[in-house]
Amino acid sequence: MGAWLLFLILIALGFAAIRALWPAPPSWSSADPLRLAAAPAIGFGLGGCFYFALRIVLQQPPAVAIAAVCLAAAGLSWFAWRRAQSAVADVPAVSGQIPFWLWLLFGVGAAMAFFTYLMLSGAAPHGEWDAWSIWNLRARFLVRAQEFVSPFSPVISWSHPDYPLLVPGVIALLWHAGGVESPSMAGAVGFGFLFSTVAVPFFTLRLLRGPALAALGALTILGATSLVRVSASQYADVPLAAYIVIAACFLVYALEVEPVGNSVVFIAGLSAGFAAWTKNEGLLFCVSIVLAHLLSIGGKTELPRRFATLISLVAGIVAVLAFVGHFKFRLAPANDLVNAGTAGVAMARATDFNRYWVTFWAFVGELLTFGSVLVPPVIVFAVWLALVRFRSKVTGAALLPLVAVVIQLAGYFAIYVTTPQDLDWQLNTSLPRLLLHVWPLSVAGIFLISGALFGGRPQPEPARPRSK
Amino acid sequence: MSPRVLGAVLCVAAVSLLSVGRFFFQVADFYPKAPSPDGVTDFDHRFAGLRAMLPPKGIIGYMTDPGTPPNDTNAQAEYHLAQYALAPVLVAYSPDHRFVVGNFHQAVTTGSLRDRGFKLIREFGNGIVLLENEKVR
Repeated sequence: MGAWLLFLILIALGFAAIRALWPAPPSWSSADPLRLAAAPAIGFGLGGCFYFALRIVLQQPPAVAIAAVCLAAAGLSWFAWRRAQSAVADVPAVSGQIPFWLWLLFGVGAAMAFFTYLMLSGAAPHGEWDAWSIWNLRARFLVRAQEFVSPFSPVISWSHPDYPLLVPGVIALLWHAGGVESPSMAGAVGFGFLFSTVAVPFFTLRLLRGPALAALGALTILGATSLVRVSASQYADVPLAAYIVIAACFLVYALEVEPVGNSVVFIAGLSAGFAAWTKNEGLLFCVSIVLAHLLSIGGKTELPRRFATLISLVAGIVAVLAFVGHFKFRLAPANDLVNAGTAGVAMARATDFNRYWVTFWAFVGELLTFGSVLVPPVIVFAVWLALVRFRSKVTGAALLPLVAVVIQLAGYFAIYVTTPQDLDWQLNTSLPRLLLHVWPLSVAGIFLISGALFGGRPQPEPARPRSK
Repeated sequence: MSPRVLGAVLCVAAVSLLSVGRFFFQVADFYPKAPSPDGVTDFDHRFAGLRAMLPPKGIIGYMTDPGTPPNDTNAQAEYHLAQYALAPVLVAYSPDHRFVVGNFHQAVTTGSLRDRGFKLIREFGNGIVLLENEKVR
C-alpha cells in the first residue's frame, strides 16, 4: 500500500516539477496531457536522485528519502500553483480531423499492447536475465545492504556495478516504502516508463501536428513489439528510450512554440541528464542532443534562439550529471569498455576495416528486422514519406530528432568498432536493444516532418509572451 | 483526403496493428502455459532458508555440479539467480572461500565432498547445501 502511494506521489512530483518550471493556468490546459505523459519518467528520475543523494551519499535512513520525496511533491505543487495564478494559457493544439476508425485502430493497438505487458509481467514478475542480474539485483543490494560498498564490488563485475542507479534507486525507494521487495512494483515502474515512451511523442505530435499524425505515430511506436517485450522484461533500455524521447520532444516543442521559453528546454536537459543516470548510453545522448540542437538549424534566423536556449539545455543536463559524476568517480568501478586495453589497442581496433564491415552489416540486418515489425520499418517509412511527402516547410527544430538519432547511432557504431569484447557477441546481444533506444524518437522525427493528413493548421499560433 | 494519403495511413496502421496483434496472440497463447510460480520466484524460495542463515555482508563461494563447463548458459543463469537470491552477501563463482554454496542437480555424497575438502554444514533441499571449505580457514 505504501509503495503504491509513493508510486502515485512520484508521478505527482513529476507533474508538479514540470508545471513549476513550465507553468499554465490552474485549470486543465492544452499542454497538460504532454506534462502528464512525461510525469512518470520525470518523477521517477527525481525520486531516483533523491534516493541516491540521501540514502547512498548521505547514508540517511530510507524514511528520510521517502519523506523528502513527499515534501518535494508538496512543495513543488504549491510552487506550481503559485506560478499558475499569473501564467498565460498554453498555445492551443493544432486543429485537425481524425476519422473515428483511426482512433479505433489506435485504441485496439494500445489495448493489446497493455494486455501483452500485463501477461508478460505476470509470467515473469522478476523480469528477464538483465533485470535479475543487473537492475533488480542492484535494487535488492540497495534495500538489503547496511553499507554501500558491496553493491559495487568487483566480485560481481558481471553485474556491471558501474551502471547508473536511476532505475535501481527508484525501485529500492518503492520497496522501502512498501516494506517488501514486491516484483509488481518493478513492473509498475516499467509500465510507467513505457507509458511515457509512447504518450510523450503522442501528445507532442498532437500539439504540433494534429491528432491524426499523433495517433498514427503512437501506433507505429507500439508496432515495434520488442518495446513492450523489453519493457516487461524490466530492462533499463525502455526507461532510457523514454528519457531520450522526452528530451527531444520537449526541445522540439520549445523551439517550435516560441513563447514557452527556456524552462521547457531546461526540462529537456533534465531528461537528457536522466538518460545518462539510467544507462551509460545516456551519456552519449547528452552529447547527441546538444550537437543536434546546434546542427539542426534551418536558417540564420534560427541561430539566436538556438544559442539562447543552449544554456538552459546544458544547465538541465549538468544538474543531473552531477549525480552521475559523483557515482562514477566516488562509488562505481571503471566501465568494462573503458577499462579494457590501452589506447594503442583501441586504435588498432579503430583501424581494423573488417570491424567496420561487420558492424555495418549488423546494423543493416537489424534495421531490416527491427522490433519484430511485420514489414521492415525502413521500408514502411520510405513508403510513408513517398505517399504523404514532407511538410511544406520543414524547420530545423522538426529535423532535430532525426539528427539526434543519426548522431546517437554513429556513436553506437563507433563504440562497436572499438569494443574490447567479442564483436559478434556484443552485436548479437545488444544491437536490437540499442536501436530500441532511438525507435520512439525516430518515429516522432519522421512524423514531425511528414505532410498533414486530414487538414489542419500547419503550425500552432504563437501566443503572446509570458509575463513570468 | 486523397487516396494517396489514405493509402499511406492504412499501410502504416495495418503494419503496426498486425505486428501488435500477432505478438498479443503469441503471448496470449503462451501465458496460460507459463509455469506458476515463475522460475525466478521458485529459485528464490529454494534459497530462502540459506539466506536466513547468512550475515548481512560478506563473501561466500559458489559451486555447482562437477564437470559443468564454465561458459554453460544455464549454469551462469543459476549462479546469477543465486546472487539475486542471496544479496547483499556477495556470491563468488569459486569454491576458494571458507563458506561455499553448493547448487547441485546430480546426487553428491558427503563422502565425495569430504574427499574434496568440504564439510557439509547444512542441507536445504533441492540440491542446495552450505559447505565449509576446510582448506580455507
